[in-house]
Amino acid sequence: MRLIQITTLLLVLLSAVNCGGPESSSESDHRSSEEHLQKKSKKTLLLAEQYGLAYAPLQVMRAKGFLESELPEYEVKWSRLGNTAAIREAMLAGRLDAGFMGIPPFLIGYDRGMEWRIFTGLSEAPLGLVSWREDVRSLEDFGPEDRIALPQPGSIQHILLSMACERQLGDAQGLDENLVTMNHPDGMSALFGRGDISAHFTSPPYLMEELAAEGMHMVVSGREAMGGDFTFIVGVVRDSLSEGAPEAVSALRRSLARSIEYMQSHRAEVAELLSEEYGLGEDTLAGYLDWEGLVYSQRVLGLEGFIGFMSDQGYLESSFTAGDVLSECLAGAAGTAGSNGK
Amino acid sequence: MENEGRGRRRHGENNGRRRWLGHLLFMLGVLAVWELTARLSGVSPLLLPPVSEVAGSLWSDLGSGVLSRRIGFSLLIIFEGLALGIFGALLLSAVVWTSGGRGARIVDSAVAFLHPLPGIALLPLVIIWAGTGRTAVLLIIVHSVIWPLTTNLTGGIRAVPEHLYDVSRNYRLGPLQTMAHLILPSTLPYLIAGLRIGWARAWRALIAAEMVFGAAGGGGGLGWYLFQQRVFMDTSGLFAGILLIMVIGVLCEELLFESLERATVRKWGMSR
Repeated sequence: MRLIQITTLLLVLLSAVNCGGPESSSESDHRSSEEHLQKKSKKTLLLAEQYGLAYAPLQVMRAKGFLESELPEYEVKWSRLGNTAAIREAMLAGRLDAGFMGIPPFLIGYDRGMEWRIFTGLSEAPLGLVSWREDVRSLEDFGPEDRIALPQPGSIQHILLSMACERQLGDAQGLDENLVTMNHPDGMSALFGRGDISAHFTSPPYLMEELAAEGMHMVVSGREAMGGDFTFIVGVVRDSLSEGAPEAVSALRRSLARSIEYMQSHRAEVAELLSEEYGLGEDTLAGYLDWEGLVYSQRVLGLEGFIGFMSDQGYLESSFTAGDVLSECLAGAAGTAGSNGK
Repeated sequence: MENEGRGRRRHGENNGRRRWLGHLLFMLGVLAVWELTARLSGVSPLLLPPVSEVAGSLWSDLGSGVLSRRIGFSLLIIFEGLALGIFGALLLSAVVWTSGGRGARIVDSAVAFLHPLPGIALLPLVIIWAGTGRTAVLLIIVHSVIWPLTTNLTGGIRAVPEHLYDVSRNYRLGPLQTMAHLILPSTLPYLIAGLRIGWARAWRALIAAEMVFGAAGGGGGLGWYLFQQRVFMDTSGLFAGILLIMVIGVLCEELLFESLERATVRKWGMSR
């Protein structure tokens, strides 16, 4: 009896799947006609950023409405997501056109088949591993009980730590067992708590705040780990947008250039604007913006270094070059992808 | 009498086998529908990988020992948490039983306030107090187990009919003897039901906690495995992890608690 019931249930389910084919396509027709309607009135551009000083030009661009003035026929919608995995998932679900993130998570997505490319650099920034432990001066000083906080495996902080491990310990995975996943604010408070978190691999402004606190010191910097300069945050765009609306991508590039220029020419105003955003004093923030190594620029550095290291370590499985992952608007400027880490 | 008992047992075995067959057919059906959908609908494998791909990553991660380490970690910490939770719940129930009115009211209020609180909501606090290590996960598991178990145990103690207490008093049984001969046997069905709820809660709490703060040093369990698959964008690995979590949940439920019930309360005719 039961068997018959189950088989009938299965058959019903299967036929539902068969119906699902045309039904779902009609649904997508419906959606595209909806999109079409929107296009007639106003197209939407969905963008995502994350939290941190490295994203400052985006905040300026938003506050000054640069992109809106470049793209009057678009409705620009910004969202702030907690980590790169969320940006990747939103893009996969079709809820996002462009986002900003570190190079390694972008590469992992590209490697797994995400159809996206880098369309601009955004910032180079000082990153580093900060510890409160007097006796920890190099990576060799970490014991098995020490915990290192960083955003997530596969993040730029994790890859840089692996690079440093390969240099100093001869084993890129040497500290992988010590990692604890935490976002930057939590990592910072855990570090200041001087408990089981011995060190925190972080980025501005947390890096500056941590180094300014008493008794904190840098164990290894991102630059030492990489063995050269590298771009921290890049802008990434879905291939469908580059192909379907190249004018939107170039408008994004132009307004970013304008924001970066504006940051240099209107320092006081920008410091005021950003100090609100980050809840930091204006002077403190102006000081952070002048911090050595924090550079806002559209060039992309260190791409080959990351690709090489991550392929060697098995984080990337398919083989591709820096040229493959750059969007067409960047491909002309091939020189921007220089500075190999090794 | 004897015949009837054997008949019932056979009936029970039949039921059990049918249930297993049902589970199996259900699973096969879902897998078939899934494979067909993945292959025929043209959905990107990043969104829905076919079953065969998922089986592939399940196989390779089981083979390389990664998954067995994760499973071992998860199960060990959960049974540790269950044991501590049982101990705590027994202690609280003993308070209820011995102290009568006031103690019982205190325990009741504690349960009323703490039982609805999801373990994961406590996580930020637990991290501040106990750090990010294994202890934090263990505390969350104990929290998820102890309150439902206490509710069930105290309920069980209250359900013992008054006349049985009278009988134990007639026999002049001491507190320990009353515990051994009356309370423990009559609350056993409640204890097992409580354990079932506790296990399910603990399992969820463990996976959730690990997905929030990741590896608790020296490795991590299945939640950490899921998190890693997410950040490295391995969708078939993600599905493999989810399937495994389900299968382990069902296996524990069916093998552990079913056989515990069969060996005790059902055998003794206390529940069906």
